[in-house]
Amino acid sequence: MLDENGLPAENKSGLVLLAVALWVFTSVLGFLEILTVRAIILRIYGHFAITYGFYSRELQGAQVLGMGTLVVMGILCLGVAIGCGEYHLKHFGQPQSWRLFSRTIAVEVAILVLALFI
Amino acid sequence: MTTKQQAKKWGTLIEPFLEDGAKIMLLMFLSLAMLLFLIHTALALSHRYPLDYGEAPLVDQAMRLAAGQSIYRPDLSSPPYTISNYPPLYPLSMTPFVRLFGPNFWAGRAISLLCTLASGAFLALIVYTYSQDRTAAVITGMLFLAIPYVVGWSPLARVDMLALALSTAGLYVLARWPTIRRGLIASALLLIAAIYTRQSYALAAPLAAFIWLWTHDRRQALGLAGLVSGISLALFFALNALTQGGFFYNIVTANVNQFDVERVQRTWRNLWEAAPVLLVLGGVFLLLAPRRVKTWSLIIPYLVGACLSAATIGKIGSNVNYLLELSAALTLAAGTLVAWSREHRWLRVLLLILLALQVGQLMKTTLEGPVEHMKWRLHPTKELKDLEWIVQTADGPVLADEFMGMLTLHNRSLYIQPFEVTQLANAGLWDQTDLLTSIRNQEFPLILIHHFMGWPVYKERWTSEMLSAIIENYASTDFLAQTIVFRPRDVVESGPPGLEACPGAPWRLPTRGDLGMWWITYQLGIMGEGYENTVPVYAVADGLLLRRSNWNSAVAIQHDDPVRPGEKVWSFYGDMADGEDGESFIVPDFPPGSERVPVKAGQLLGYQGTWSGSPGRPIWTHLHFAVVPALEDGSFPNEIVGLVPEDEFSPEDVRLVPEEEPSPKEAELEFALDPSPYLGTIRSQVMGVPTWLPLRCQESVP
Repeated sequence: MLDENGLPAENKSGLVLLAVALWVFTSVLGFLEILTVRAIILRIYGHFAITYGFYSRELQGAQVLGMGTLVVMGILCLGVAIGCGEYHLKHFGQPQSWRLFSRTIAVEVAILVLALFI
Repeated sequence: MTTKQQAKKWGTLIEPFLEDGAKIMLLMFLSLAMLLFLIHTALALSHRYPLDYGEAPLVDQAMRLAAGQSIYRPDLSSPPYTISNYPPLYPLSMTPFVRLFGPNFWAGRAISLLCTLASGAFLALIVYTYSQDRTAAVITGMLFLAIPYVVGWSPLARVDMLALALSTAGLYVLARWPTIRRGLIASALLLIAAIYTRQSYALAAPLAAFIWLWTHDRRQALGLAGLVSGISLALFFALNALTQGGFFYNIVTANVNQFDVERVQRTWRNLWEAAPVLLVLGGVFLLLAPRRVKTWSLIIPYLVGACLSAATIGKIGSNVNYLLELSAALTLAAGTLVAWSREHRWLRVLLLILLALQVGQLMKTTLEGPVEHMKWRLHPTKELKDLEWIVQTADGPVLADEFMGMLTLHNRSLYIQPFEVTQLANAGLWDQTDLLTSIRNQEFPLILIHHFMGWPVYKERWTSEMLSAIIENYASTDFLAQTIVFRPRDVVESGPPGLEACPGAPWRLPTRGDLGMWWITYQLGIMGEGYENTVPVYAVADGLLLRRSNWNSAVAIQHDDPVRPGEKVWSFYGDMADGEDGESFIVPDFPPGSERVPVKAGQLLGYQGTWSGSPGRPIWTHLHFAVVPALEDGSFPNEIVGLVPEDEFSPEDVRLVPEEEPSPKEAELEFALDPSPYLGTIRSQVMGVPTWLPLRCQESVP
């Protein structure tokens, strides 16, 4: 027996659980990665700009950049969590919902991997 | 359903998502790599001054071409001692900009940047032409731009990116139209243009083009070989005849530098660290492609030819530009493998993930290599402006190495390309006698020698005879942007002195401390700029000089103490010796065993040395200076903490707190006196811990 999305009714609860778990996982990981992104941006900035470490004028720029990154990333993560939640709700069980999950996870894994290199 | 079937079903279900995710990850990494590329390039394009030794000679050649002069002189018996190492196409491409805007670096850099982008595009197009795989094509193009050697070299006014763009264009035309005659002619012309931009491009791309055509149409292949070699040779003989042999002398004879196998090994080690995945994929391509990939006969010869070209990096003076063709070939192989793996989904996922990791490593190398290098090149803006002003106001020919571009910026032709003529002199192909005579006659108002920290490149750029002549006849007066500015000794010694004494101080300064001074509990390591044995050391006041028989690098002078009237005090001058073998730089007037020799304030005692306390461990040129209280009988004390003339001048010698509380007189005798009241210089409040201070007078402290 199929539901309104064409999914087998007996598997639906399992899929709901999986989708909710993935959404919670990607959202929480997204928020946690704000600090990782900030670190990556600051490291890149440091390579390009900072010359004399603690005493350099560029350090003030780094502080502003770090705070700006926190604000922007915070807003972005909030938007992504809400937007993705809405999207998954609307397209539950459909391939595009799973594709969005795979892409979100890919981006988040990429950020973690990036932090290993930069 | 069996477990195997279930696994297969799940595999089929998640394959597209995995591939999608891996693609996103790789593209994200590549996008960040592009961002680094763009920032790096923007910084380079907006920089007024030279970024690389090789930029100025090309601008100089463009200036000469704009003035209608030949850039290929058949001999170097008279100045200018310049060499045009490359064929003329790149300086010719800069000539209109030099005419319109005057000598500059931005035009050449912009040409290189556009050519870099074009090279990436041509590589992508080659992959796309035979695979119709847009993802693989985009990955190829972006991967090329992510390679640190490409990032570092793309914004330089050097010949390489133009040559690479022309050769990749030639390969693309052939890959696109392998059997059409017009394609063959266009490709041949592009390959010839590449060769006439940089002669080493006569190997990889022409070889690839020939073998590629050979597998399609042997007549076409022979036609291409005939066109490329025929026109190239005809041009060569014509140019050589026009320049009376100068063309051959400049681009062949003057390019035969010494070969260092260790340099090749080091480069390959670095390449392996930066691009292990690309190298492995290149190897896999060599092994597997012939039976599986349509474009194998284009890419494999290109890869092999590029490897051979890259091996010539062992030539002294070579740089990572020798790896650019190899970078292009490796990205081409990687991109083609990505395209080929379209029908093997799991393999494609693996490839995409591996390439993402590779891009991560490439970015790391880019940040630690070219980006850091660029930052330190751009950083000393004020010093670069000062250096430009010094060069601009110099009256007469200037000898320079890394910053010879300061000359071309002011429309002054180069007098010498020191690296090139040094290599010729080392090979016995150039007689440097006239130049040495000019140096000894102090005919040059300025000589600029650049120092890369920890890397004595100047020894490759100047012959030992030139360096000796410079050190004997010139004195270092400034250190700007890692460059030592030498001026004729006659001018320096007769001219107005620099900061000799602080206002109101009882003593003059003992030496120059352009780099500042280490303050180590009342003792100073005053660090001047210049080679050892070039920065003079003077007596700070009238007195009686002592040089004990076992003092190789030190003297001391007894004075009437100006701070404590009625007492005697000693000024101590140490480390005036060679850091390697301990050769003393004290003037012959004061041999070991000298006692109570009268000296006057400002009298030359010797020169700053690199002695660190033990042979074979040189440190930066410096003077170890201290003010030492005299014993009751006025003699020099033997037991001063940290002041053992032939011992190491190190912070370990200085105790933070004396083990037992000494009496004031004992303390005075145990430790050197604060030199600040004597010299008028600023002091540190930090005792026991070495502190870095600028050599400034107290009045100038804000």
